[in-house]
Amino acid sequence: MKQQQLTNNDWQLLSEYLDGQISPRDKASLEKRLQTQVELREGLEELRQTRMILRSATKQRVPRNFTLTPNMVEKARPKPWLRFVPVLNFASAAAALALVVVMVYGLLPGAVPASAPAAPAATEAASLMAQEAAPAADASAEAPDIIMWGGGAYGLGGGGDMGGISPPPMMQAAPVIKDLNTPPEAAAPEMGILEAPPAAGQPAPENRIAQNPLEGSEPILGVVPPEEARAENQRQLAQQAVETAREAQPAERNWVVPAVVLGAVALAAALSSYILRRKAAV
Amino acid sequence: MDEAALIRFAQQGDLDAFNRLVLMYQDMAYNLAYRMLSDPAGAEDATQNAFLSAYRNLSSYRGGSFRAWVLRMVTNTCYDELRRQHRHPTTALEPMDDQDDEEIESPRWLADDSPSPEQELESTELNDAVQDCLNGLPDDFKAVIVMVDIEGLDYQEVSTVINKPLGTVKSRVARARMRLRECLQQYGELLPAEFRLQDEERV
Repeated sequence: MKQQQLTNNDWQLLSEYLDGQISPRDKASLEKRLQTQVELREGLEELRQTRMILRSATKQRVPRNFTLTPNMVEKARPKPWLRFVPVLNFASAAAALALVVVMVYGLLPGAVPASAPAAPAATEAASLMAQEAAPAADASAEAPDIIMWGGGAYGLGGGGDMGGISPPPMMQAAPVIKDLNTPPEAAAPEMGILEAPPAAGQPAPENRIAQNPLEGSEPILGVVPPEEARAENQRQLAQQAVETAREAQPAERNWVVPAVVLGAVALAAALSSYILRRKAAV
Repeated sequence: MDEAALIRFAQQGDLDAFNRLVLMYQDMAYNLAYRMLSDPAGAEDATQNAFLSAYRNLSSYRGGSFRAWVLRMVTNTCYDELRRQHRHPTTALEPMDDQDDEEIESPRWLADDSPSPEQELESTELNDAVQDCLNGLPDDFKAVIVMVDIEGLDYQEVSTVINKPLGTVKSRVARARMRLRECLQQYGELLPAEFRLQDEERV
């Protein structure tokens, strides 16, 4: 049998050639080989006969007509609830997926204490808000700097930015205050690093401001007495802490709810999968 | 009424229009199912189910060769049936061939017990030989070679039916013919003289 020398590729080329499906390039080269290679010609002839036999196979007569009756069509129409069957066929996969989601969600480091990473950020944001809400407090904390800067302008070289603006008289008059917490009005005498001792029976800061128009630095520097600023900050921080705590609780509830929902979905999916499998088995 | 109009009416739910399409393609559909399943009753069921499926999925037809679209329904139905048969083989229909241990789905002795009118025709042997050899092919090859060489579809249409590239069709046709050529040689004397694949006739 010389044809056995032919490769699968040769047979494919011959088959394509027989049906006129061969590419022009392959056709040219095959026809050249057909002129010289006997086994190719024999192979081609055998394929031609094989095709002839297949074409000669008798067509079967249809035993009946396959037209559809309204009854058949009606039966074939899927019941509404059966439309979900293809989806439910994947119920086991859905159940597994839901389970994985629940587990991963629970295992993620930041997932369960959902508020943990959020808390510092919230605090940060809160402190920013506190700063915005109480600019006076900040100003009071930095008041000495401003005074220093005023002093610098006075001859320490730090006032370059001032350009030709002469420092206000208040600044010129202000002594160098080292204690950041020292209220400006208490700094009139050189106090060193000591905090201004709030004198007993001293009036409330507001009153003091009113009483000391000379210390008009408050409107300019936005200074609020440190006690007041601290109190304001503390109040803001406490409020923030309360809010953070309040946020943390819903976050935990938020993780429980999807877990329960997904768990229910997984259970329903598994059940429907089981029922469908039982029906299919029957 | 032309085919396009019938399809359009059928898509709108006109069962009569669809049935006219059924009458146009039922011969081809049944013959493809018959060659693929090698069983008249199975082919009948498969053809009916394929047309039901076609009616149900008419909205998915998006133009092109309607014949190819219908035949895709038939091949898919037949593949399902063949898979089912492979899962639940019946020993009566799939005895082992003693010679080469290959399964034969429709043994000759079974067909001979109940000769059909077709088998009484002159070309009974030829048909049986073709069917036996087709049965030895993988399902994918069988579908392609039946459509190309028995149903007379062109490669492009077959490519649409099986949803595979043209190259796949060419390759399957060639490999199916190679196998059928070897298989049919076993039937040498049974085939009419003009179909005998014998070296001495050719040289």
